[in-house]
Amino acid sequence: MLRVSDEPSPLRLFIRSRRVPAGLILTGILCLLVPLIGHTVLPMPTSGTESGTVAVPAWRLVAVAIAFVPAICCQSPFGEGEAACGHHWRRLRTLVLAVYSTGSAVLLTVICWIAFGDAIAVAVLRGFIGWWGFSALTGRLLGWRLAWAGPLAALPLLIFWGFSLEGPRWWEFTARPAGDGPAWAVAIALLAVGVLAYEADPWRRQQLRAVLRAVGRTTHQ
Amino acid sequence: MIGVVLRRSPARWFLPLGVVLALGVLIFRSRYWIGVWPQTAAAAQIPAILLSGLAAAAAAWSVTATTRFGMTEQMRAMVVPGWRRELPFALVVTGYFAGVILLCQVVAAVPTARTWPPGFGLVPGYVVMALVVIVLSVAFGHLVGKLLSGMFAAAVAGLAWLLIAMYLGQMIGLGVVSGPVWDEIDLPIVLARLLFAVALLALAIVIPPRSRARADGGWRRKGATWFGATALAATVLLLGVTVAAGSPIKARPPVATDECAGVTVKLCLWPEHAKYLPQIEAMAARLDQMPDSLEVPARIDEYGLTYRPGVPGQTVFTDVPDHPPYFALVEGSMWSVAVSIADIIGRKNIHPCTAPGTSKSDDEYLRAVEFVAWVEAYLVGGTGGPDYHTSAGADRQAAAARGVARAHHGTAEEQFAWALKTKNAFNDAPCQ
Repeated sequence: MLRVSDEPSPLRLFIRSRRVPAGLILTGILCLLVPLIGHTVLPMPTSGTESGTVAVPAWRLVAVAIAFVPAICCQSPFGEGEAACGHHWRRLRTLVLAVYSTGSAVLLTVICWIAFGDAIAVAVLRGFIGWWGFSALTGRLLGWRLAWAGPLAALPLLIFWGFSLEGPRWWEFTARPAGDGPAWAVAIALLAVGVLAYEADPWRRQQLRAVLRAVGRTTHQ
Repeated sequence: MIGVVLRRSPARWFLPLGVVLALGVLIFRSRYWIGVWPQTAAAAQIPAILLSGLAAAAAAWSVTATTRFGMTEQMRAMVVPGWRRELPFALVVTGYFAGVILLCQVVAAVPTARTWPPGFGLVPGYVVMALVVIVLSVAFGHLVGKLLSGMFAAAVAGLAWLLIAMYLGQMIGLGVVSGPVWDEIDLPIVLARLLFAVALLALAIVIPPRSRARADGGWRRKGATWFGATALAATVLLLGVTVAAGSPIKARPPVATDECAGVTVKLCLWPEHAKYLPQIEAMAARLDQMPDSLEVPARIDEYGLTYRPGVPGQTVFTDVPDHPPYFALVEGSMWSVAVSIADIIGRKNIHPCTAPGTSKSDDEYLRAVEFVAWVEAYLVGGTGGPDYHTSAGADRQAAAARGVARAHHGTAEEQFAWALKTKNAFNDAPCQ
């Protein structure tokens, strides 16, 4: 029997059960790829230019993956049973996700700042914020293991429809200039949706339904 | 077995979403492809490129199902060799995605089939090209899923495939974004590529997984070795064949055409571009109205119709002696035709300085830009502006805008008088 002092901390157990170490390795590899292949220009199909393609630097694709890896690490090996866990466990999950996501964002931004300059670093950070929100939404809807599916499906389509003869459209939040207001608004809206989706766990949704039922009954009376 | 997998595969959830996305990509874009067979097939092939990342991810997701559901022990206990267990999963993912892409081709073909223009023989090349992208992405995803076999396998497969496909896409002619009539897809080359993709998928299926499941020897049972050796040999052989064959995008040989418009100036089109004949006839009529003092060639062909300068598969615009000049009808744009013809007329009428080290003043060159822009807008007719984007300097853009505006005001005679005056003023200006 383990002594109290030998018991692994809840944080350590949580991290090990979530494949966070594997996720961290993947994030590290992807961050290395950003300066190595980030400058490579990929001609991607688009509907808005005369040539039918738009030159997309590879860092824009790699940055998407760095944004969705933390959300995949929310996948629980305990399935739906974890939904019944208490406040402490949920807080631990939020803490790990927040630290992991913030660390990834800072690391990616710093790497891009060193490799490409401040304008691209700011645009990369904005893209990270938007993709993180979208992956959190996807993770809540399809399961955290599939948090990559939404961003991976949306990225080529965003590029396909996101360009016109004048350049990226206002909602193409990954390609607009660093200080572009509408692009920041889209990214922050995606982040807000993602945070709301993350917070809307089955327990809270149940509580919300109960409140709505109560309000409905009061209105009928 | 395939029926069970078909009904239970997670990829079935992709089917309605994939159909919506593929048809969305086809419909919510310019419609110039309707009525031209190669453009129709090329437009319906674009969704294959865009969805191939998801196909790679779905294949990896499918192959990692055994570990995801903790079924490794049960699968190891099966008498059936491993490759036969995996085959239905790979076939079903390929089938779902290929089904979406083929449906996209059929839907795209419907509006074009209503007029049934010439050139249907160019379609199969683009269809096979789309299938190659799907089968290759599934093979890649299956391989990555098998090698990584973890929670991140699908995401890594999807992203890595997108990076590879977009990087190599144009370099090796993996896909196209447009199907110009002067190009064709070499069917034997894309068929060889499809065979290579199938062989790679077979190899991905037959190689043992990274996990300890291989220790039971199940991967060597029931002819797995022969299957694997054949798949490996076929992959290597077909890789050599496809690399040696090069890009499948080839220049079409010249064809005889009677799709010509105009009397004094003939504008000739590829037969597949017959739908543009009314607009080209209107343009030829405007060319016929031009005064004789403006020099215009007797015949202008569409690009590649009678000769093909440049590298096969690439559109390179250079003059070749003893051939009529040519225009480019790019993605249904009459402005692209007008730009080419205006350039020809400009070179015939506007004569820059020939003595070395001399040139005309900047104002005179802006006058020439205005003249050429007027020719463009006059040929297109109507009151609209150019449908293309230019990165020329502000003064040149302003001069071009003046030329376009001039084509929209005054009678034809007034415009011709201005054009002759401008031409003579430029040609008479001294060289400095």
